[in-house]
Amino acid sequence: MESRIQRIFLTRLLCTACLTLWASLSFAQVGSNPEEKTVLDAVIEPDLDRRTIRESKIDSENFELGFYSGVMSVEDFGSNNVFGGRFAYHMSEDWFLEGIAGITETGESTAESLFNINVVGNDRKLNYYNISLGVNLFPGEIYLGKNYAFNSNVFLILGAGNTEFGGDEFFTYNFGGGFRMFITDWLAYRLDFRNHIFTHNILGEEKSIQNLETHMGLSFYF
Amino acid sequence: MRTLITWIVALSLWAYAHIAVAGIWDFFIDEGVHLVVSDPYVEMRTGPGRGFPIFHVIEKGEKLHLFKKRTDWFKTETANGVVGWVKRDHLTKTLGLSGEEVTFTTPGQQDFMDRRLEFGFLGGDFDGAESLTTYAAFHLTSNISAELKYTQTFSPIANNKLRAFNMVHSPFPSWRISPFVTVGRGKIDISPSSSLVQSEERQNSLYTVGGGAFIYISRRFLGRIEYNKHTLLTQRAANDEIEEWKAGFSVFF
Repeated sequence: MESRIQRIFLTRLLCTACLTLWASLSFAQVGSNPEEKTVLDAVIEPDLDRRTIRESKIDSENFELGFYSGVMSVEDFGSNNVFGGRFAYHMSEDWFLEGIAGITETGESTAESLFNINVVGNDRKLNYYNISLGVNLFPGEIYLGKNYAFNSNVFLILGAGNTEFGGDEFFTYNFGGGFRMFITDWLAYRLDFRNHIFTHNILGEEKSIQNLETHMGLSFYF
Repeated sequence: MRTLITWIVALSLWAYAHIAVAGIWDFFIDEGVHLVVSDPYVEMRTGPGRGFPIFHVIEKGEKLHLFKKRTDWFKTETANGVVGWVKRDHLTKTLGLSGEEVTFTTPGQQDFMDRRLEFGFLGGDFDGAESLTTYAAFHLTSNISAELKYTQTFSPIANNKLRAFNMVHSPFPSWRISPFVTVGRGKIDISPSSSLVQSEERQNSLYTVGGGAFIYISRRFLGRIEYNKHTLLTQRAANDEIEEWKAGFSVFF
């Protein structure tokens, strides 16, 4: 009797073990073959669309637009007010490309006032434009009182362009440097020093002249 | 007069209604990107540059809001309200709030190959005169682009202004130094120096053939060297031929 009960019990145990093994094997088969999807899988697997976040959703401020005024000394023709505008593209934290255009009214040269003549014509304005490559150096902070700190940097710039003066146009190199202080992220104060070098023959003979300019301005970043 | 005012008012109301509905002002407000830091830590600087001091360190698992970008730097606010600048390279392992992947892309050589717009500036020698060129190019395919070019040349004898339309073909756009050939036509204004006696301005048609190379430098920046041979169609028996060499740099988008 006892052995009979034992046999039944063992048979059941064996059957259960077999069933469990078969079930686990068949599940493993489903798991190993992702093509086969059961109804259960469809219920469990969430229908999630994995999105990617794109950088373009962030506002970028790599362009600079500004205006300035200052003093420009045109050799032989005196120092006068200069006004202009600038447009720049910041390629990296170090390098930027900048185009500027400015205008100044020149005074009388010594020869003109001594002999009462006019060598540049009725239009005494000098216009210039140039495109330059700049490099940012020495990033730092300016402290105003104990509560305010403004980012700043110093830069060097070198480029070439055109100067229109006395009814003629001249190829002009320019180089210089400056200082930039950010009042906010998008507004900067600029102080620039430039030398514009070109050769002209307005006063008779060919002469290479150096025209120093210093200006202050505001720039907007967008 | 009254009808005009009525019309203007009606039009502005109509325009305003459309703007209000379309939410056109959303264009000016960038919501930015919300992220979770997955790196062990991220450094935060006071300004957008490697020279600015690190004043805060963001820990792994902290939430960030990126709302402004300048060159390779993002202006970032943490959940605690700390605001500073973080470099793009430090955020490559960061994830979105619900585990989304974030694609940060530093412009590279692939962008150089795929560029659509190009603006550049070249200087050089135009038959003994100094020359300055600005140009804008639109890339129709990765091989072919159309260019509008404006050149000014300066010499004691004459100043020239040259406007031209050129087609450029680069057979190997994937090379870092990618050669090209170009053909084009345009107009040249020749104005002899005002200090010379016979100063008569004249305009000629001109055809250009040339070749050169684009040199990818880094990011959105390329160098360009070019040789051009211009043929000026003149009223005289023979046409003028002018050689031009130039080099410069461009930015592309």
